[in-house]
Amino acid sequence: MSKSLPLIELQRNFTQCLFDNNLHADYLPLDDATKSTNDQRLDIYRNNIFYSLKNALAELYPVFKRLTGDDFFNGAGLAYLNMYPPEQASMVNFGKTFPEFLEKFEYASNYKWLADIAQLELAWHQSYHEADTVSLTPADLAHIPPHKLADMNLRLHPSFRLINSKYPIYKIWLANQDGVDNDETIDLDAGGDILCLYRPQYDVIIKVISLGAYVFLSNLQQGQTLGNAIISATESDSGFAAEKVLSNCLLEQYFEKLIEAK
Amino acid sequence: MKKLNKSIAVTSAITAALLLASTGPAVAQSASMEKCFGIAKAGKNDCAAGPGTSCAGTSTKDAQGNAWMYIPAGTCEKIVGGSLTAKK
Amino acid sequence: MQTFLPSTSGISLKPKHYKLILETEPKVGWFEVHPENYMGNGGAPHKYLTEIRSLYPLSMHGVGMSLGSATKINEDHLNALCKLVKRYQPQMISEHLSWSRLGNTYLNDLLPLPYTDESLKVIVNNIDRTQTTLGRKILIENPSIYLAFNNSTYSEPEFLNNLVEQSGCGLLLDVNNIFVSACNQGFDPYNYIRKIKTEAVGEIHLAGHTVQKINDTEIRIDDHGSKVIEEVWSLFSFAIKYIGNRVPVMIEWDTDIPELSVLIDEMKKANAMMNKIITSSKKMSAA
Repeated sequence: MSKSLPLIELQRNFTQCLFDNNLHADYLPLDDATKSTNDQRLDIYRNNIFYSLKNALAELYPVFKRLTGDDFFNGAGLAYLNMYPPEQASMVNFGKTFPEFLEKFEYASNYKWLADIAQLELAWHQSYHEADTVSLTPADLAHIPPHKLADMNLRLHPSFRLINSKYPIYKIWLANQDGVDNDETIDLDAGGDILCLYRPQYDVIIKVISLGAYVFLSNLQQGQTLGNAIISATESDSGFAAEKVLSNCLLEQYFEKLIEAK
Repeated sequence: MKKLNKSIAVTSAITAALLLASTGPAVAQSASMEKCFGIAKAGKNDCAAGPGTSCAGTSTKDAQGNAWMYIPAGTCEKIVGGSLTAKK
Repeated sequence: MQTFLPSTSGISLKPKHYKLILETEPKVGWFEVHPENYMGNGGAPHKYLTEIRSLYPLSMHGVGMSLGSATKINEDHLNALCKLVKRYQPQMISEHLSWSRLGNTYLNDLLPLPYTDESLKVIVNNIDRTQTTLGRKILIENPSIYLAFNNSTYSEPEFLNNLVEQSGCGLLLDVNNIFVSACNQGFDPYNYIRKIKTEAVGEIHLAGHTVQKINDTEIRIDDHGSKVIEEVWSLFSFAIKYIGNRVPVMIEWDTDIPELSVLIDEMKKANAMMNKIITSSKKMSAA
């Protein structure tokens, strides 16, 4: 009787087989009783893994899939899975490196905007699963003197995400939702979209925002004081109306709480 | 002086914002369950097997030989201007 | 604290059915979820599960612990499970006799183990770590097998009995998986059940599967995408007779999920079958 392969070695070899189609079932210490079909049986496990992960990816990036079609999606998905196999068991956290993969994926190099679409879909997914928390209301700030508020930071809701794309990704995203079917063409050179995503309760909301609002909110996101955020926004966007943007943010419940600035 | 001006501008903007916000409309609440609870996305962990042996292309080694796979062929066609030339 | 599921049938809880369940509160013994699908921080999945948990008993059926990994189990995953168990207080927690992790790579499937002394030691240690952290007993489920190893020294039921003895875990008997593996590996499914220590069985699973041809060989694929087939119902009825008691039974459905009523009908069928067998065997023993 041959010496039994240590379990760690067996699992290493099995994993290698799953990722490399050039390896056959005889690479593993398998039962001879099913010898004639062991290669196909190994394929069942290969298929299970790649099929389930590809499905998870398709669920996360439906717009990307619709834009590129099944073949491209399968090809990009497989290349991605081989390069970035999941590290966590929960599929909730799977696929977050797909946008950065796409930026470097050679077959997508003529379609730079696809990575931004994936970024938007990832932001939506993350916002959907983020922590629930009570939002700050205008009344919570009413008793604090404005000059003190100027030195504090307003922490954004955990579900809050900002995206600044030079491509019209929101128009593309809207035109490629499930069930939407129109013949509208979208001009890539028509100008970019600046977006924020958040989930005040259980539905993710996407809003188009101005450059000033974007600068204002990203400053707050980085831990800057409210005062500095207003100043930076005014400097980068002459049309930035601080009172309108800030009051709107409060009414839309973008903030979680008032904290010390970094 | 410039700094002082800035801080005055900031404080007055904050004051104005709080005033605006305090008189603003309350966020509307909808009664439908979908609105209250959010859409129910399918979870992607399960213990079912995939399509068995009938699924094509199980590793990139196979797939990468087929360059035709790498031409986007979905609704991509409806995006014009710059789809073939990369933007910097 | 150890709690128990009611000894009646339950079904998989699927997001597609959340709303209808909350609107109609159908008569379902209990629901089962994969905890991995609730490992996000918040949002709609937790909202729905919280509401449904307030109405029904719950079982958490893990697919990601990789108890059979020769490398240690992932503590982050275990902690995430712990958090969910504290929050939702499920009546039952179960996992699989399989592995799916090698170091930092997670292979999203239930992969087969050789049934050796070494595997037994590895999985007993990992179950022990899990049960100690959770502070309670878990059930271990027999997987569907497509490949077996030539160095196995135990049959699967023998291996499971040893697991029970050495780790104190219970068993989740998946009757469909027994049937699928028996066909794929060529053993007698009835004999398999006869070998199992029945007092360890805390839950039974039923599901549908498909048949595919490879060359001239039929292979059964456990895709959970259809109704339970007649042969599996027969095996189930044998299992209940053999166990001699009502057991929590679960109808699994993961692929091409149908209307809620289809799952409920399968659940009722399982209940009726179980009730008939137990009632008649009680009468027999009384007579």
